[in-house]
Amino acid sequence: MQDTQSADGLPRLPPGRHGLSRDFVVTNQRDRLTAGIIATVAERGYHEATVSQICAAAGVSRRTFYSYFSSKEECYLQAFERIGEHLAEAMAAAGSAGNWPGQVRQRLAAMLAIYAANPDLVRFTLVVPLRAGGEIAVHQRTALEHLLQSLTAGRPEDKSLRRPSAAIEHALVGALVGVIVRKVEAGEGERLTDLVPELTEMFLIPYIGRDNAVRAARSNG
Amino acid sequence: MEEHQRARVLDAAITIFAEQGYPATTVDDLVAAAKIGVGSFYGFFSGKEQCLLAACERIIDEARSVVVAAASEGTSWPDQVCLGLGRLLNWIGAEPLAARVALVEIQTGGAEAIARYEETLTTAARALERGRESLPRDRRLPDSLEETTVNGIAWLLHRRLTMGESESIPQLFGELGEMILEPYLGEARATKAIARHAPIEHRGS
Repeated sequence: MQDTQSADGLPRLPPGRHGLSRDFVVTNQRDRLTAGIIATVAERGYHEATVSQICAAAGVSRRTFYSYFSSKEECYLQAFERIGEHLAEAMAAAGSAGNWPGQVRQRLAAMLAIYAANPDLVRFTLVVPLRAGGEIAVHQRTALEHLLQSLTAGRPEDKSLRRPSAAIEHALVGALVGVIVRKVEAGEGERLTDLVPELTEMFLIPYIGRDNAVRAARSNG
Repeated sequence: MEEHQRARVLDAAITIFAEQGYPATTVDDLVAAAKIGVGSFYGFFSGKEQCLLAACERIIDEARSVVVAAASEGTSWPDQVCLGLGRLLNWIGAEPLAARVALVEIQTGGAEAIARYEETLTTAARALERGRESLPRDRRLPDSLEETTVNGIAWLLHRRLTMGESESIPQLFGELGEMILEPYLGEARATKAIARHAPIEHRGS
């Protein structure tokens, strides 16, 4: 019964007919499965979430699931990568003008706006991997490394700028993520953007010192 | 005898949790590694989750006594922080499996284990708050400073432990010491406090 149904509960459409291209259907089903795995894994955890639950959340059959992904892990990985790309693009677009400290603030604001719109993304990318352990936990490291790269992009090689060691930069981004996760776990995920000044200041202190960091965190430029 | 056997199960469990990860470990694995019967295992623990909790309890107790003993040798707060941190990092470098269980695997062990992990971080953060007592009047620190410091350090250690870089952990003393102390003491005094301890504790270790 499920086999003849597409994501929309409509019969499967051959390509190029009905004004609904196959690409559209595919994208749509993929998007729904992405949304489905994010919601399911964020709620239940990686090991606990089943393909059936993901399909139910996506409104897609198991057969459709397996036509896109060979496993839950592959689906998780692709969703993870899409979120990462989305965040990186939004952060790059938001913080391209002005000086670097200002860019950091704009990039953090862009990231927090995305997370605030769907706090499940925080659980999915920044909580679930550590709880899942093993190979899945590696993705947490990747996510934090990308975050660090997005924030430090364009940092001037200025002699007056302090250059924290790699270890301190990792601790810094770990601390930043800790604040975000705590806010979400306190049920205040929708208000993540309140953290923009605090996180900007925290992140910039090791690079530009406390006074400059406070100034950059409060400015609106 | 019973105590001895239980301790042996925990030793085996720490090794196997660290090496193959808690989620992938079964009670059968634990029983085989500890060379005891399934019945004996369940006499000690109700399941692998209880076994993980007991292992973490032992590891956290041991790490805490290392820190407390080291700190008690210091006369000033910065010295106590340096001594405690230095010995803790050395201990982690020497006991990477135990550290991995209490910092990494613990987070995969379900609600009770996660609560225990967070409680440990909170205890560490509370201990650092003593630095505020000697703060100059005009220096204001964010309320969440200690919590974020501890979270950042925990993540860095997690990273090193899971990347197989545990030998490098003792060498983090200088950087982490400065990161902890600078907000309270300022850069110059923090660097000085670290320098007093760095050569004895860390050169060539």
